[in-house]
Amino acid sequence: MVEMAICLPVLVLLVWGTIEIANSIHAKQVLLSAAHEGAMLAQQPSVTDTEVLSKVNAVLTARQVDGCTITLVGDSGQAYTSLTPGELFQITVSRDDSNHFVNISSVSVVVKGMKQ
Amino acid sequence: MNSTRPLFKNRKAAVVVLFALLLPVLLVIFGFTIDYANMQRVRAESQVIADLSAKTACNVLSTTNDTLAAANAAKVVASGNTIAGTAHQLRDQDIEFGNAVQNGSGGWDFSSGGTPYNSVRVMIKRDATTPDGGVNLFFGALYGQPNFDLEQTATASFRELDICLVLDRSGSMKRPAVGTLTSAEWLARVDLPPQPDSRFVAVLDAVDVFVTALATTANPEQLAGVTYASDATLDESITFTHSNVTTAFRDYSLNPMYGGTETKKGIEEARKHLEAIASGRDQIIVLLTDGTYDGGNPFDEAAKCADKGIQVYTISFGDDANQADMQQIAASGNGEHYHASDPAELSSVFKRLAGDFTILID
Repeated sequence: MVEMAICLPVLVLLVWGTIEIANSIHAKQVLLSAAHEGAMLAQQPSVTDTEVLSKVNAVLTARQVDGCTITLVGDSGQAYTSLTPGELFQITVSRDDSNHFVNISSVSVVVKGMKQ
Repeated sequence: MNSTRPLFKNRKAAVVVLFALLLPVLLVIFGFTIDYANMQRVRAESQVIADLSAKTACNVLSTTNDTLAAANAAKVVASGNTIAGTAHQLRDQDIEFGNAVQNGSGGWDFSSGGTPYNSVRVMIKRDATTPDGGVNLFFGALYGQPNFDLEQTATASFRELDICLVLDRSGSMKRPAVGTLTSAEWLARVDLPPQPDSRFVAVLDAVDVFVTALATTANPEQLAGVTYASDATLDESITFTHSNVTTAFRDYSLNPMYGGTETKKGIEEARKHLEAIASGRDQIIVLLTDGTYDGGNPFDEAAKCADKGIQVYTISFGDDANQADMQQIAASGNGEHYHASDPAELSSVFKRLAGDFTILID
């Protein structure tokens, strides 16, 4: 019993930590795929930011992820619609998962692309 | 023989010893698990950068025909993004220009250096030979592998297209593009040619924008023109001289136009023409209407196009247009639907269509 009391916490901590980290890597992967889709769309000419955001949202919904914050702005914070061809935009998708004991799963992904 | 004879005389703390011995092994296993998951994520991350920079370079190439400008654009996009926290620097040898042709089985064959250039291949590479070296592993020290190599590529190409524009020339196209008319106002113009403020003229202007935008790209696309009301006509056969198509369309604005909206006939006329050409290039139909179809079933016709490899893009124009139907036609025809509620939006839709003819092929 005493041995168990020494070993079990270490083992549980290891397993739990592995799961938690893997979980956050997976979450990041999902956010990345959503940002990817959005960026591919945002690279097209005459696209509005609303269209891009709804595309990103659609991917997140399909992957059953909610509670995300999505922003689409120019590289230096200006409005996406004000960008001229050749300027960079950036899409940020972040998820703050406060359900976790240690908030390791709050992840954020930034993808940059060029306006056409 | 006593089968219950203990292995150790004193079993106390044996498990702790065993656990202590196993712990390093467990750490390696867990560390590798996390590293492996992260490796996949980093690969996905670099694929995103490869895709975005290849597509950007191809777009720049298609509008400027300048490989230096295209390569620079790819570098700017890549260095704006990070791989495992490090901004990625593309080297010149990571960007290849070449020619890609469709190989008949749905795929593309890219030949590096082949001319005329219609494709860009971008390679995202991190290993001992690149400036940033391999990508670090978190627990690599535990199992003697400090980093891993990365090599992801993406190839973007111009689509060589045959585009058939299918325009609605039903009676309602004489209505103003913005706002409504009283019945007296409508009666006054019903037997006149389409007026400058009419939907039809707005469409003609937008088609001009489309043709101008096509001319700014290096993509060698061909254009054909079909119009439809209660019947459908092929007004201009497929041609590289895009102005022939706009001129043919303009001719309709000289006389009053009448008739229904037999969308199915319009799509059918375009499909027959494109099928007859059998050019081996990608073929698309761009269908525009301001109303609701009557006559035959346009959805089945669009599906028939999709069967033949012809994509049907649809544009609904104005508040009277049946957007749901157009959406369904686009879905059946394996294309996309756009809605424009005023002439400015219509021009922007056409501009976007013309600018979206570069695709990722690999």
